[in-house]
Amino acid sequence: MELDMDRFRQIFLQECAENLAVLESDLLALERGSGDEDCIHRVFRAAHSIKGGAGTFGLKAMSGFTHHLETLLDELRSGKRSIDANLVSLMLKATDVIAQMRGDAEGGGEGQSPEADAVRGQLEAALGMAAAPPEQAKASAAQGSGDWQLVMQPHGDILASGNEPLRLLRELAALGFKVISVSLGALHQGNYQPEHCYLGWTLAGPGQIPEADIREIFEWVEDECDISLSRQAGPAEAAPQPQAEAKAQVAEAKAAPEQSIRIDIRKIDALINLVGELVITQSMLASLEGLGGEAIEERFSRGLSLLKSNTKALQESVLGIRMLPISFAFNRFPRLVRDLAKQLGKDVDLKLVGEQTELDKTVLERIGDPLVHMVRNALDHGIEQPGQRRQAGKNPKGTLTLSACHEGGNVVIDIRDDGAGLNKEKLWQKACEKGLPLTQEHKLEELSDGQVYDLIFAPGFSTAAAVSDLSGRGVGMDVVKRNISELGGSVEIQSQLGRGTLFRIRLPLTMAILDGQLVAVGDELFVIPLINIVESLKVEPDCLLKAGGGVVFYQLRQEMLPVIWLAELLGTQGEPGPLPLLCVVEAAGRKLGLVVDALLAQQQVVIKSLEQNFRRLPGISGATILGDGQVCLILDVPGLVSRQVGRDSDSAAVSAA
Amino acid sequence: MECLTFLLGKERFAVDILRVREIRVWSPPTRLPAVPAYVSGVINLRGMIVPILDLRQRFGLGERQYDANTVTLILGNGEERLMGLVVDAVADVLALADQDRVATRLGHSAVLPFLQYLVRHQKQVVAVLDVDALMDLDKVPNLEDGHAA
Repeated sequence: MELDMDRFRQIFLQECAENLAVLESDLLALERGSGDEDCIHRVFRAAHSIKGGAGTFGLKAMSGFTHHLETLLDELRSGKRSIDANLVSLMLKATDVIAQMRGDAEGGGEGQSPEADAVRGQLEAALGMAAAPPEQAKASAAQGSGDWQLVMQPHGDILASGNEPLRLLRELAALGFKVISVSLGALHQGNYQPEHCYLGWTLAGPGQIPEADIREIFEWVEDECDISLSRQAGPAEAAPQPQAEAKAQVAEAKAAPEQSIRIDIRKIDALINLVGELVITQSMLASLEGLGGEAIEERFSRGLSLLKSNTKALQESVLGIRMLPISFAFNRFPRLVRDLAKQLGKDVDLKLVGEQTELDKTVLERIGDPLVHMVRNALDHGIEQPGQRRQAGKNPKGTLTLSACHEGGNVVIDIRDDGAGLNKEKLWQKACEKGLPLTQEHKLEELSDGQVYDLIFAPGFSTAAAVSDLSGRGVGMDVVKRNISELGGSVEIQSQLGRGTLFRIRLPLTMAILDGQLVAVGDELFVIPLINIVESLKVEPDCLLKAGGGVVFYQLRQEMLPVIWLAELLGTQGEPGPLPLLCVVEAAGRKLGLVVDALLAQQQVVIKSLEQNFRRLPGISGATILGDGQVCLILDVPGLVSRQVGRDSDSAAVSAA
Repeated sequence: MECLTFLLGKERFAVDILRVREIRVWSPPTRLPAVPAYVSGVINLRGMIVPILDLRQRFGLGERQYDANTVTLILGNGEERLMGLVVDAVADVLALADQDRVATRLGHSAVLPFLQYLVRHQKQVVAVLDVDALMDLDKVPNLEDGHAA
């Protein structure tokens, strides 16, 4: 019984999160005036189910708080009051409080929020509940005038609606009520129906319980249970124990909720179909057993190719289960942009494009924070104040566009603002003040736009820049960049002064599988992700230029590429091949040459973690298992590149591109 | 405590048998860069990548040709992490009683950090190893510095 409750509680918390999302997005729509008729009803229903669920699972603070929001929404729904920005702000604030309560409950708490009282006060004020304090005063005045007597008679069909008198009794017990007598009702009259509730209860409780708390318990079953509540003269009984017990039970709730994923039912159906096909293929292959002659060969190869295509489809399908639409990450932005714009006194329109674009759950979870950071930056530093915009002849209302689309094996996410754009000279000056390495070796004129813009990703670039409490363009941008690189992605900046800035993030669809190029180094094999390979060529000894300190460059057409001998880096054994090959790889816009002995097959590889049982190794991003069962290491190209040509490297090797 | 005993050279060692997940014949692992020599590499254990450590080398007992008796003990810690140890040969399973512990302090030795205690067993002394210490990756240094660009 207890275990089941735990599971339902988890489901409730999950649904609560969904309802909160509905609240937030529909409230925002209402504020913009773009909400339709249904909008307010949806909001109301969401609040209503949160309240009901919270009550059922003993989260009293949450259900009580949500009740106020619901009342407010009810007045909106019935047209008693009209919507305005202040009201929406208040309701959004209330939504936040409920979200905090939900978080607390998820962590095993009782669903409390530190801000609950303050916001509750504001809600009450909005509801015109100035009468609230007197009511309380009345309650306290009534205190001691006698204990409560409560007669509760559930209707016979109360069980049919899923309501359970036992729950009511339990909640009453938690308040301090005790059962005095039970009436058997029509139970003894024969004609007994096992699905009916016949019993009625008379309970007594200490007089100091506020009447509202008692009524609240019955809120959910108003039409299904008759109650009569009265005061009785007489001394108050000592507060009984059950309250403490109830608390202990809540505290036992699991602290870490299970990770789960909601999957489109169509994906499951497709998977089941595929498994069906696989079974057919298997029986077809099995039927070949015992056959002889030439016929078998042809049928065998046909079966095998069928098996191959089945397996591939199954693999794609299974991976598809982990794919979620990017709207999961985008959903938070309408609210974020609205609040930030208000705070900054700016007028910003947020456009979301391609929200249905799917990507791997892991990637999705880890891209959220970097995106938030970049959106904040765009709002804080990109988009100008309405006055400035008007002066520049632009629409005073700024536009921020977040879009996502698939491009090959990648997801491309654009964050585009129509703000002031990046000022190259200012960036350069700031970089010089900071003494970034690039500024010591190059002049501004020598660098491409991209290289100058990339300065904002330099660690420590903006620590001294005007740091607002929101962000500075550049505050933590190095972290953003690092997070994206860790996901195997890249960021690119385009900007036009006065017209706006575009951050383009490219991410792999999934982190579980990649197209790899198998290379031989000495006696060993390694995988280089195909996506990082620009080209491969024979090493011409004449083009190798040795600089001091063991730094070697390769003259590739107009470019000077830093070069790494993989055999040396990885310490492989075995003779080098007679014809070394240069594999030109690129990550984060920087190129590097890797010397290998031979290029072998290209194949899709399943990425396995080295960290699970061991740990990260420099230059290695993971491992895979080849067809013969051997483990093969996957090279970490972004890591190698940033080590060899990155700005944070001590070596003076700056890409001469 | 029931222990699996094994041999390194002439010495007999033991580990808690409950921590031994599997005993495998030795097969060549895939070498890893930038790790100490006693980390032989990684193997594929039913789809998992499991590191293999050569215990002889780790204890500084000198190298020895791997032969038909060479085995890999796959050890697990409580948290689903696995690690393989290459040893010369497995011996028998012993029930070691605490009262047979030998209370001698050893001198300095490479084994010492991994030693739980010594037990006298039928005229022999068996060194019971601490599996958690063996599996502690902080005791496996990274050689990154030697390879950094």
